[in-house]
Amino acid sequence: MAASQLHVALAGNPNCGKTTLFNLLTGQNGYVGNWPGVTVEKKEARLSSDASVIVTDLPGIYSLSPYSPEEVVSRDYLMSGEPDVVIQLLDATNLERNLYLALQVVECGLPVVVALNMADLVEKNGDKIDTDALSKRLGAPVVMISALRNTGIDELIAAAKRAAAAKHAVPEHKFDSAIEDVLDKIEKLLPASVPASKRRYYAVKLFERDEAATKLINPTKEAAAAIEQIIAQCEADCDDDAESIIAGERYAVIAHIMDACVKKAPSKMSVSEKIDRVVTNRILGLPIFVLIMWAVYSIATSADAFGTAGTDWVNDCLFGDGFELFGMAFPSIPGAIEGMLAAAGASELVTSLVLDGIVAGVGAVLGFIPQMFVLFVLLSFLEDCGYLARVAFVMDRVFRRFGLSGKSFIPMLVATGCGVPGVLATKTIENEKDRRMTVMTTTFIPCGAKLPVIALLMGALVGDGEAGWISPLFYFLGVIAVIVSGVMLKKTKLFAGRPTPFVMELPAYHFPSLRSWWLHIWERVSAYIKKAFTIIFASTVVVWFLMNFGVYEGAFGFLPEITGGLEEFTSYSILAMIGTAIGWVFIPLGFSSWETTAMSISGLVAKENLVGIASTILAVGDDTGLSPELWQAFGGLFPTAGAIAAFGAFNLLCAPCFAAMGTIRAQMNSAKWTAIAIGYECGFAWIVGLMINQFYLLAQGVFSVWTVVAIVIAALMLFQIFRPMPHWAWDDDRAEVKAPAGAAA
Amino acid sequence: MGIADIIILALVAAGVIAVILRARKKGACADCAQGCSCDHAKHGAGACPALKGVDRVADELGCGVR
Amino acid sequence: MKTLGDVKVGDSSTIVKLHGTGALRRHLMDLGLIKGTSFKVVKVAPLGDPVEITVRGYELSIRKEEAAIVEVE
Repeated sequence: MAASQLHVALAGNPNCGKTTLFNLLTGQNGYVGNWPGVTVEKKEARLSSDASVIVTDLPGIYSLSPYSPEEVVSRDYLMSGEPDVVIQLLDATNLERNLYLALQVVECGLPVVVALNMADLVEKNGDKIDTDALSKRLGAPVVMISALRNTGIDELIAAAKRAAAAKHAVPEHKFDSAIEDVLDKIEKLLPASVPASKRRYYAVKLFERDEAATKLINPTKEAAAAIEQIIAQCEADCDDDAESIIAGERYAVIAHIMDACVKKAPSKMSVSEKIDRVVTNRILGLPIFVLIMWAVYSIATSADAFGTAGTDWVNDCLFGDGFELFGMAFPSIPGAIEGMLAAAGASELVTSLVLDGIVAGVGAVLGFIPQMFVLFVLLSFLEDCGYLARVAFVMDRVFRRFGLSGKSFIPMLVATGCGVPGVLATKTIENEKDRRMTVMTTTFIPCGAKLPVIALLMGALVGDGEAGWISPLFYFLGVIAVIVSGVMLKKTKLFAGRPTPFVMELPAYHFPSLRSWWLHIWERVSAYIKKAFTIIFASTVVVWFLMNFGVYEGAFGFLPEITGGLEEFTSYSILAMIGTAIGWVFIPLGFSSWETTAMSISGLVAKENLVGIASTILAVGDDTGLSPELWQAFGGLFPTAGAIAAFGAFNLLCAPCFAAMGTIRAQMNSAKWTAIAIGYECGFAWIVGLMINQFYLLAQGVFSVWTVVAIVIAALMLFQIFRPMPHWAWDDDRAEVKAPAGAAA
Repeated sequence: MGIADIIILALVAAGVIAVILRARKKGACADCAQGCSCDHAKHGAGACPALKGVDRVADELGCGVR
Repeated sequence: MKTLGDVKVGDSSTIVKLHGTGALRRHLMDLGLIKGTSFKVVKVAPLGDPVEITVRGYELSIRKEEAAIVEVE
């Protein structure tokens, strides 16, 4: 190791601006990988102001217990001898809990510098923190910083360098004298090989009966027995177990520190609490959530709102008939291109490719941008202000009844934007079964790309009328699909198990900064635009080709030519052949034409394709998108409204786009489970489509063998949903929560 | 087929090939809002800048117990 | 035995003992729930679970099942 290099460890609770601080110190250019042997992320980078200093960001933890890999990795690193100094981050708005970790870090015997974050926020509340007293009690210099405002960072770095150079290990805090005696005795029994600065750390760990530490120390048999006796005696005296005793001692020290250093303002209920009283209210919480999501989707797609007006303008004018600006008439984009192509002398084939294929397809997709924009304005706001955290809290109970954990809901909230990060977000679920199930069901939630599909379906079902309420319906179709799937699957052997514990803290509400709000929105909208010009573009070209080339009377060629201008030339195309070959699968769902089949297949590449390809297929040259013609033409492909609804349900629920499927594969890490996931999604979608179509037909008085099938399946599903949880489902975890009568081990 | 046709067809073909190559190279990152400048093959969940947002959301939504 | 889950909304109480063993128990302790700690039940989510409490100056939401290992006065 180069003599001039300095190693700094950054420790702190999760959720306390540690990541922000790390980024401020190092500039986001570091190495990100895993700690060896575990799936815990390791972040390391050089200080952007001084390349000879390496900062290692430890995982966010509450304590240095031996129980979770994050904690083990952190304490192993602190004791490894590599770090020269530790920056301990304290969140001033959560001082007590942060101090709990700080005390343990201090015990490690390394030089420590405390970074007190958000002290300015605390003073706004009326509380005052005496940093000198704090510094004295902890035995470490305290530097006030604000990670959000980027202040104090330079002093922090300077203090860290000074502390590292002085190599002065922090004097320890003292527990109750009785406990100190016990710890002293244990310290004496440690092997001489343990360095002086670390003896205290190990004495405490051994007292807690920390297995990992004990293994490391490897005391002699006699020493181990003596230590055990000391501990047992102490436990008897205090009528408590060792872990609990130490925790209690730490909190006692913290109480002293808080008394000496913090002057609290009289407490009054914060605004956050007032809001929460209503929003997570026992009775009102769920209906409020339903109402809010309803409003979000309605506003984004309703006929009178900005979003739809914008979309209509784009479709009818920009891509339609042209528009007037400042008294000058502008042609529409297709019109302009048509003109250019004609002037260049392009042939019919190429003109058709460009106009009916590319422009129609991409134009239709781009046409929905105004609505997407509105949707994401609303969703990003909800996400940034902190409301969605409450939703996870509210949904947790609903989920818990069905054996799921609220943790599973978080990826779904992310998936309302795009399914790919939604599936990636499942990595926070440690329980493997739960994680798999969440991966499988997360993409049921309509992502941003599905919005155009929903709008198209809406149009087909109700024409120009008031249909703002249909799109929320499709959103909730997704949510219900998730819950129903969860309920059914949890009762099967593959997924059964106790729901994962979910203990979470709720961040305070805050009005999102305009910058981050805009960033969110722009992220999604720009991704959508990029997709339109790349994947959708390529898809329309391919589909156009498949639609315009085929076999007519034994000859293969460009159909409009070789059929001599036949109106229905597309029915001879390659696409028609493919579609017809597969289309029989959809007969019971009410739509089996090659056009609808081709649309569904194209949806696998990207869900927006359903709209883009629809537009191309219908060869609606001049008017694209939401104009009545596309609705009408699209609706004309289906025999009944029920079939339209079934088509919608099928495509919204079935396997997601290739990108999301790839992510599923990455998360599942197993071909078998990926197949199960995709298979389940498609199967479920097919069944839902079937039931919708058949029950619609039934209501119209049409009865067939498929009606029977639909009824039987519905009955089976209801059974699986409502049957009591099989007794073996939670048996394997039953040992964990012992009956209260037994004493703690 | 005139010269204009050939040019247009060539452009379209080039475009499609470019898209395919891009999709292969970026994999799931193809739609990523950040335009994922990372090399898809190398990064795990940690380096993806889009996932940074997810971490933040997951962080903000709370810390779970194992 | 009265547990944390039995405390009514708006009421305060004090922790007597943490039962059980292992990671969850330790985690609850690490979050501040130990013998002698007082807390207040702020709200209970729709359908009754999880429970949100204020303890040591911050809010924590805990499932009733987990709360079952926390014995209170």
